Amino acid sequence: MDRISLLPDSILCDILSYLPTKEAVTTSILSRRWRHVWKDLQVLDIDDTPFYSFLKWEDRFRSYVNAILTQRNVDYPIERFRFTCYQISQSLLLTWLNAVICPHLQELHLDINLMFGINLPEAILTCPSLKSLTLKRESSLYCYPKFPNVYLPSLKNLELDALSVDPSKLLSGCPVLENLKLFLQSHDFFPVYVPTIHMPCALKSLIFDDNTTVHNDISHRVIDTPFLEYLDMKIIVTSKLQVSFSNFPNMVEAHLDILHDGVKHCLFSGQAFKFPEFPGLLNLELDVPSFKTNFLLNFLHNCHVLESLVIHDVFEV
Amino acid sequence: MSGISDTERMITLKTVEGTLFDVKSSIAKDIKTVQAFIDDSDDDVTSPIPLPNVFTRELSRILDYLNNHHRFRSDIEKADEEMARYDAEFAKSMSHEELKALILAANYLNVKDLLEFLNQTVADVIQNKSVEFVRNFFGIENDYTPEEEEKLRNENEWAFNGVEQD
Repeated sequence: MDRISLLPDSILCDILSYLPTKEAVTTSILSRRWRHVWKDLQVLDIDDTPFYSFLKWEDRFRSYVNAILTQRNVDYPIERFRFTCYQISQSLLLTWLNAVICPHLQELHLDINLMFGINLPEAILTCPSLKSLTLKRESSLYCYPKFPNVYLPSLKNLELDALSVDPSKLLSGCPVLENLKLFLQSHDFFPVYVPTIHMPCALKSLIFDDNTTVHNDISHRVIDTPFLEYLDMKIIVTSKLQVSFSNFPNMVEAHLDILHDGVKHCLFSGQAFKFPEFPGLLNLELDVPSFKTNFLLNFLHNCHVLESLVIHDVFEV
Repeated sequence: MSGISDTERMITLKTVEGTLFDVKSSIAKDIKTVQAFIDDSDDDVTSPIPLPNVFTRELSRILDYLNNHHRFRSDIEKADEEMARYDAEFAKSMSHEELKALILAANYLNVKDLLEFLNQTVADVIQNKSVEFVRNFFGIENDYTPEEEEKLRNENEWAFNGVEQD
């Protein structure tokens, strides 16, 4: 027998878990020994891209996913599920998601394009083992309309890109969240108003892009996250926006990209920003259309050990 | 060994060929098979621990990997960068035969991080390759009859479309 075939199935299966699932399945053709190895996969990475070149690719893709979900060994629960799909019906997606969700699921990555809104199964938003959740697809996530009951006690990583609904309920159900990437997007044809966001307080890394603050009503953004080490924030400042920060004793890197909407030359004079102290901040990058010298001086006074400062000065026309 | 590490307890490992390796106990902790041996011993382990399935060449590489990773981790500043560079070099420096031998050794010794890294490396090698390439890589003999293979391809037709026939 060949030497590598002496390895237990668990190793062969671990090797396969680093491949796209479609490719992992083709190893069943290698030899009898390999025929069923892929069925123990606990990591599925399903992508419809390789199917585009076929006639009736939607049908073919559907039989592919159905075959994987029905043939796989149910004694090995799915731990990581990555799913990329350009076009899919809501009912089919829900069927597949319900087949995948289990109390062992640790990572769920959905990159999908839906024509209509969808309510994610509640089992996803209350999954006790889930550590990473990604809901992704350019500008079309208004298809996740509401987050009714959310409790994700293990969730460490959350990526919402881009979201066009109020994420408050979702965020308040993630008590131990450490890494958050949140792109909030309002559209002319689909305006979104998010009155208040409280960032979960255990955050260590925050990437936050928010253009919903242009709304006519007051928006609050509360970044009370004393453990934050990394901040990358892009936000549109208006006279209706209020942002409050905690102190950031552990901050090592910050990127601030501050746009303003129709308010000329008073960018930081209003109530919007009261900057905290950054006792450990080493690198700072500011991207501002115009700023007052006093603001910058006050800001720098709060950065005690800053080593590098980059200012992008974007002139207005 | 010199400097502050002098105080650390050393463990001796013995390969198939009889070569002896002295290993710091902090490194031995990452080698679960060795650690289990130590935990099961009533007294302090003073005589060499025999590793009847591990050859000198593989053990020396594994210890090299573990020592370097320990060093990177103690220097937080650039740990991730340096580790990624080291890992890339490590992966590149192996022939396919060495890679497979190292997986067997890492599996026997139960060195989890290294095993995951090696499995990932194998996956990178076989990704997008033909069935024949993968058979050669693993040294697999195709024991399907032509009829069986045909049947399997038809059953999961969606999977094999685009995969060439042998």
